Amino acid sequence: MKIGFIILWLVVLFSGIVAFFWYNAWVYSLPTVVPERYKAVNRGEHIQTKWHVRSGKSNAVFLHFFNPGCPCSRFNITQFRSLVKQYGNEVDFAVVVVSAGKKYTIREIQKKFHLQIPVFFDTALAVSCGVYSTPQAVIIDARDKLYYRGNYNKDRYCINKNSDYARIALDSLLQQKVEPVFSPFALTAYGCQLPK
Amino acid sequence: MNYFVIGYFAAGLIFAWFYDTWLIALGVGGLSLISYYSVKSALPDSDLYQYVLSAVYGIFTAQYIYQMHGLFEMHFIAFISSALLITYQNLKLQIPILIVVVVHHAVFGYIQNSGVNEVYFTQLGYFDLQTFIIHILLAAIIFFICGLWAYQLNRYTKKQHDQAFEMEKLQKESLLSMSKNLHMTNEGLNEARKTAIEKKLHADELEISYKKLSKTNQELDKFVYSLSHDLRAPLTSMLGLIEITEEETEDRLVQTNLSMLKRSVNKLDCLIHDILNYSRNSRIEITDEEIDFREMLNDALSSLQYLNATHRNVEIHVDVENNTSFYCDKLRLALVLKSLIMNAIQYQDLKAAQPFINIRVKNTEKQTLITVSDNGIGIKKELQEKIFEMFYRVCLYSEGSGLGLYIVSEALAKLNGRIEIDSELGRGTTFNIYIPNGAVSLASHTSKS
Repeated sequence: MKIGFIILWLVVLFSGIVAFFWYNAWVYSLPTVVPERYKAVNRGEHIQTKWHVRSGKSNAVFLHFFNPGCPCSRFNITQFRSLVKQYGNEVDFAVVVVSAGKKYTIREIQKKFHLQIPVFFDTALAVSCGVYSTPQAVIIDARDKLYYRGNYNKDRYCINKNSDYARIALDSLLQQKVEPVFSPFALTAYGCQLPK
Repeated sequence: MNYFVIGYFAAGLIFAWFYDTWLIALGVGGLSLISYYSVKSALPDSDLYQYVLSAVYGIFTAQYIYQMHGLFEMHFIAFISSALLITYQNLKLQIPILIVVVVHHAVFGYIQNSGVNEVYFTQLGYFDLQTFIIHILLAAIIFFICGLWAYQLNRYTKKQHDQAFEMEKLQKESLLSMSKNLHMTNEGLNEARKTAIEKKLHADELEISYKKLSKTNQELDKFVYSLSHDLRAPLTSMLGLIEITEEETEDRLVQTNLSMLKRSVNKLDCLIHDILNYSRNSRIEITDEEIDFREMLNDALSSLQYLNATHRNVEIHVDVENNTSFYCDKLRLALVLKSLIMNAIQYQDLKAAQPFINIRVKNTEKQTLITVSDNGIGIKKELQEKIFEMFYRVCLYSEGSGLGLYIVSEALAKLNGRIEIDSELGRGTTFNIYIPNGAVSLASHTSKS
């Protein structure tokens, strides 16, 4: 009787453990809540660039919206760095820090990525690009038009090549391929809400 | 092991800092802790909590991997956990953790490969069946090795325990045996002690008895000396009176009676004389002085002149080879020589045409050899050992007291000397006397001083 009760008890606890894992994964898989006053910026719209990010030699700008306090942003760093290494000579990369509370310096952010790339703290950029979560990738073409705004990967670990959306978008832009059609997994923002 | 479980929970909290996985750290880690402690407290005598712990370790490993965003190195936690379980020395404890690993990888790998979008299980883009099998096989091998160690450890521990038990048993037996031996030794020692005490008491008693005896002997010696001395005076007077009466009477019968009386008085005097000599030998301390053998022999022969006159005249030859100084107790040496010469005169062979006594003295640095030989009646071989006994007489008509040779042997014993006899019935007797030179012991004593 006692053993039976204990086994039942263990089953309950084990279910709790599974539930915690499931809940955590479920929370991560939920799309980020769209802010009330969100103004969507569609693909192809002109993006007013007020900063000097272009080096002049590249045709595109890649903005990485990053929140150091967001776990999703943190485990996305590797993915972003690999993109910079691959396309650094062809594309102008920049990090746009969207953080509330703690203030970071450019040096601190560059240190986190181990990259010497421009870092901006202008939250208005997120609005102008239609970004409301982190991490988000924004690609602006040579004519300052929004080419891609979306997730890096459907896969939480960013290793699924079939859903490596940011890379696919960059490849398409640089090689001037036919513009790919991205699924809702790419365009529906996942991750942390932007701080208010 | 309780500390390790707490440590695992704490590690989860530390890993939560990286990617804000506090819910997982507290929720999963907390429930794992509750699982372990609740079973352990509910069934403390059962080893069920160990199996739960094994599964909990598997869950903690999954938790860490999840918390560290799939960090592959976190897989080592499973192997660390497996190694920790060795301490329980139970091979079967590796099974729950293996089940957790297998089920987890199998279920989630299958779901992910099936194309379910909401499942993020692995960083590997190629986690197919082959990878799964290799992954699980390697993990299973490690778990098996740890299980084997646990089994061997348990086996050796049991063996060691048995050996220790056996050793303890042997030690107890040994101690018991030692205790018995000790007891026996103690008994032996007690016995020996008892014997030693008895011996000591006996020795004390002997010493007391010896002292008493010595005192008694001394008193007896004094008494004998006094008595002998006092007896001789009336005897001498009696002899004088007998001799006067012999001269004045012509009655043959009276003269015969007086002659018999005189002989008895002489015999008595001789006995008293011997007793006096014996007493002197016992009583007087030894005093070594240089001996002039010629003078000593002359004195002895002079004193025996009367005796020689009453018997058939015996020719006495003296040969002294005095090469070195000889030291000895004069009184005792004179006593010995006089007794031997007197015996030779008394026991002369009447059949012999020319009775003689040869006295030869030869001195060396170490000892002197005095040889007294005669052609007297001799002594039977079987009686030669008895002649030195007290009051032993060779024949019934012997004139002596039976003390002469006894006193000789006693005196020689005092002088550390010895006497040898060579005698043949009807042919005569030879006495060889060996006496150490007192000069040697005197010199030794002086050098020591």
